[in-house]
Parts: sequence; C-alpha cells; structure tokens
Amino acid sequence: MGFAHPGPQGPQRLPLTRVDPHTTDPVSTMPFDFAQVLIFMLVAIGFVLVALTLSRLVAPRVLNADKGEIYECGERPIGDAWFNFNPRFYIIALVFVVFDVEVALTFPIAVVFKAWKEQGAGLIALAELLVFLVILAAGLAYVWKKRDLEWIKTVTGGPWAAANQSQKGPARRAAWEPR
Amino acid sequence: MSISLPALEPLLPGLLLVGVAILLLMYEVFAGQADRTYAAHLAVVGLGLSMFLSLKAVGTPRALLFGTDLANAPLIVDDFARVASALVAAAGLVAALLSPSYAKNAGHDHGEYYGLILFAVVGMMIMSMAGDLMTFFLGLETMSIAVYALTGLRAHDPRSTEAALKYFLMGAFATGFLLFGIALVYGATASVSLATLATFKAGSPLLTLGIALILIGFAFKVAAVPFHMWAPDVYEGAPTPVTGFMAVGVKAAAFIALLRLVHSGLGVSAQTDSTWIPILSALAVLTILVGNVLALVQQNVKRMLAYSSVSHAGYLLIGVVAAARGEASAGSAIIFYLTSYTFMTLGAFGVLTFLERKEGGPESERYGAFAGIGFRHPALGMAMSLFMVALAGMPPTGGFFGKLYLFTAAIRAEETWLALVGIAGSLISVYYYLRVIVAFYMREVPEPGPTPTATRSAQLTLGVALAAFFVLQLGLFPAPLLALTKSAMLSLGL
Repeated sequence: MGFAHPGPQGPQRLPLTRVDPHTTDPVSTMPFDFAQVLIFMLVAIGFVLVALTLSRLVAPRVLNADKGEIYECGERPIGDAWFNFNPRFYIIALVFVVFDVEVALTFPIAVVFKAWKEQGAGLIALAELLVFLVILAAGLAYVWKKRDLEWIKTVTGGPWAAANQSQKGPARRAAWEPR
Repeated sequence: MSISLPALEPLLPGLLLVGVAILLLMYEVFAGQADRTYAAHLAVVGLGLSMFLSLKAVGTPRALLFGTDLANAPLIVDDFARVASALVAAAGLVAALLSPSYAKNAGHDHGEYYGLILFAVVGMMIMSMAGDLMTFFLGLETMSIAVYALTGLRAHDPRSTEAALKYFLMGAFATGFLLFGIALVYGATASVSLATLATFKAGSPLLTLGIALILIGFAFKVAAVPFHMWAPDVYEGAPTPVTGFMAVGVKAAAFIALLRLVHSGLGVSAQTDSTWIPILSALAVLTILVGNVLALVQQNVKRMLAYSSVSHAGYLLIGVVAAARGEASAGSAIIFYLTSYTFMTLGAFGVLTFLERKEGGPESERYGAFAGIGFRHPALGMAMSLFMVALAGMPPTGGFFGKLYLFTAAIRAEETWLALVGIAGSLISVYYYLRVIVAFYMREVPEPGPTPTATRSAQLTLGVALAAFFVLQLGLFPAPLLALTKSAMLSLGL
C-alpha cells in the first residue's frame, strides 16, 4: 500500500519477505501454515465440549425463578427487552465513532511526525491532518447544530412532526420513558 | 515521496464533490431554508463541473496517487477512471434533477439528501480508481452507506423502511463475503494490489476461494442471480429517484470495478484457463433468464424495472466473460452499455417520478394506474415509449448499440451461445417493456381519470429531457462515446 509517508529510510514496509511468485510458490506451503490454525480450532472446540459435558455430568442443578431471569449485569430486570429503543442511543454512539476515528488516525501520525518534520514534510502533513480534523469537526458541528447532542429533543418539522400533530394528543414518547 | 498539493490535482473531480457535499450539509444546519431546491441546484452544478473536469482530463497520461508504480498506488487515475467518473457523475446529476419535487411531495425534502448523493458518487469514483482491493472496499462502503441512507428516506413509509433495512442487512452480509475474500487473497499473495495479483498463477485453492468470495460481493451489488433477492423490494420501497440512482450508479460502479479487476487483477492471459469463465457464464445465463422471466409476471412497474435491471446485469456479465476471454472490445462495449443504460433507466424512473401521486402507495405503481397517460401527457408518453424501446434494445436508441457492441464482443470472444442467450433474453424483455406502452396508449382511461401530476417541476422535466436526449444521441451518433470508451480501455493496457 502506497499511502505511507516515507520513514527515515524510504517507504516503510512490514518485515515481510516477499517471495517471487514465479520461482518459489508460497501458496503450496500455505495449507501447512493453516494446519496450525485448524488444530488450534479443534482444540478450542474440544475444550468447550469437554467442559460443558463434564459440568453437565457432575454439577448439581437447582432451578428457581431467579435463575430463569435475564442476566442484566446483576440488576433486576424491569420488564421485557423487546421494545423500541430510542435512536438517540445510536446517534450518541455514532458521534462517539467520529472521535474514535479521529484518535485512531491521528495517533499514528503523532508517532512518526518528528521523522517527517526532519524530512521537510512537516507542514504538508500538518495541513493534511488539519483538513482531516476539519472534516470530522464538520460532522460534529452538524450533529450539534441539529441538536442531536441534547438528550431531549423536540422535533419541529419533517414527517415526525406531522405524525405528532395528526395524533391530536401529547407528543409521542419513547417506550423506555416513564409514563 | 511526499505528497504535495499539485499531486492531488487528478482527484479534483472527487474532491470538488466532497467540498460541495460538506458545504451543503453545513448550509443545511446553519442557514437552512424550508425549500431545498437550491441544494439540488448546487448539487447539479457540482456534479456537472466534476463531470466536465473528468472528461477534460481524458487523454492526459495516467496519474498514480500515493504510490510510485501500479503495484503500490492505491489510486490510479487513468482514462478508464476518468470516463467512469464522468459516467457516475452524470448518473448523480440526472438523479439530483429528478429529486426536488419528488422529495417535497414525499416529505423528505432534506438538504442532506443531495449531500448523500454526492458522497455516493465520490464512493463510486474511488471504486473506479482503485488500484488495490482495500481502496476498492473503501469506495464501495462510501457509496453503500450513502445509498443505504437514501433508500430509507421516506421514513414514514413502511415500504421504504423495509427496503432500507433489507438492503443494509443484505449489503452488510455481502460486505462480509467481500472482505473475507480480500483477506484470503492477501493470505495467498501477500498483497492486495491488483497488479501484484495479476502476477500469480491460477490454481491455488486459497486464491480461488478468495476471488470467488469477492465475486459474490460483486454479484450482490449488481443484483446478479442468485444474489438478486433484495433488488425488487429495495427498488420498490426506495424513493423513485433514488431507485433510479441505485439501479444505474451502483451497478455502473460495480461493473467498472469488476472490469478493472478482470483486466488488471485476474491477469487476462494467466487466468483464462481457470474456473472463472464457467462461473461468470453461469451467473450471466441465470441472471438473464431469471431476471427476464420474473419481470414478465410483475404487476408493479417499479418491480418490473427492478427485475429488468437484474437482467441488464446479466447482459453486462456476458461482456465481463468476453473481457475475461481477452476480447479487447468487450470493455468498451460494457462502458457504452452502462452509459446508455444509465440514461434510459434514469429516464424511465424520471417518468415514474412524474406520475407519482400524492397518496403514493403500491396501487399507483401498477400497470393499470398508467392507463391513458399517453394521451393526457403526450410528451411524457413519448419519452416513456422511447425509454422502453431503448431498454428493449431497439434502434434508433443507445440501447440498441449497447446490446449490439456487447453481443458482438461475446461472439468475437467465441462465446456465441452466451450472445444467443442474451438475444433470447432481450426478446422476452420486449413483452414487458411494450406492456408499459400498451398501458400508456391502449387502455381505457378510467373516469374520473388519474391526476398524477403532483410532482411536476422544471428540474424534473429537464432531467427526463436530458435522459431522452442522450438515449437518442447515443442511438444516432454512437461514435463519440465509443471513442471515449476505447481510450478508456487503452489506458488499461488494451
């Protein structure tokens, strides 16, 4: 992949010895490399099978109502999990992804930036990074201005507002909100 | 090699679109107006400019970005990529013209709509430039995510929501296949570059499996049988202009990328003896037959067009088989076909957009709902007849020359039987395409007649007129486009 700024000694490559495809065939040795993976998988499956069978044979079984409940990290579940979740959760998660991507791509640059600067590519790299950050910031500005960072958002316009009006009642509530 | 700003110049058509899209998004939230026609205009101007820049650069030498040779450059801007970029920009342009009045009518008049179209077009451009499989994947996802969102825009319509969810889930599944295929190819060749892939001989099971999985991903995106199940529901549920955009843009981008994979990646000569040709041929035959037969029995015109687009993917796959056989003219035939298909399909969906009724619903899309339209709206009736005749592949339209070049290439590649299957499929298709014309002109007009003019607008008229113009232009004067497609294929080394 060419999308690499040069390291101190030319383009950085993975320490991977490239084999000329015409002289030696790396492909023929491939199944043996994967045999290790296969054995590992077999051992993993076998381990689970043995553990489950063993516990079924020797473990005591006491069934009661509490054990039949859904496990909610130790909390007592309040009602069914099959209801409409508020899409706000996903929006917040998506906004989080914006910053996730930001860190994931900025951090590697921070590591090699000094080397680039010594090569004289510092300014252009900085400019590129800034363009990247501006694009991400545009995404953040977008959700902010759309008021999707607020937990309670009143919808004014669009089909949902029309749906609310046509109901002739209080605005619809999300299922998880207390009634 | 460090990246300087002038080196980015070949990417200008795409960067311009990204800029316009971000501008649209920012304008939408900070200074939004209730009427988003301005957004459509801005998008159309951006797409037109981008198309112009792409076409203007045709003939200039190949540019490699972020790399020094074919084996390590992730983006290759050659004439092939430029012609393809112009094509997808044209598809986006016509789709944007079809949209404003429809969006207002259907209650999804958001400025973001045009931003999403622009982002999808940028993704398609990246797909056409991709020099390695990861860049291709990046472009594919950029395009797909935008199209998923576009599909579900009519959020208050269960059909649209179903379409978006179905498309997203199936698309994510296909992406899984594609990525796993790329991983296996990397495992077999220690590289994701198409040029490096071409140096490997066929026969390694890992490589075969990897390419097979990648082909499944492609087959899903172009809705080839047996990976077409999502197409009718998604095409029916998506907003009509978006359906047109999906049917042409996504298909064009996928075929363009497939063509580059076949020419630069599979190494035409090295892999001809491999298993690809029978598999691709089987896909083509199945797609043509199943697509055409299922289109025959549809009662909903949008669904009929969905199956018809499936069968067109089949014709195009014949071209891919011919290209894999080393037939030099197959590639330019595919690009020519894609271009004429773009205009006739967008035109047909444009007419459907015109006829969309305020209340909408599947009833308004049945053949019967179009009774007598040819007399009530003579110009519209003429345009729809033109698009249907073009889709059926009759002269004097671009559809005729598209099929002619495609099937000629297949015969030259000694795949005569495939060309025969294609011709048989086209014959079947005449029935259901003419059925639309029959509904338009030869059915009694119910009283009181339908009043399907809720979405009339100058932009829509312009979009349909542009599509009709190009369908005719390609049918009467195919030479300029043919010259363009030839220089595109030359830049791939053919």
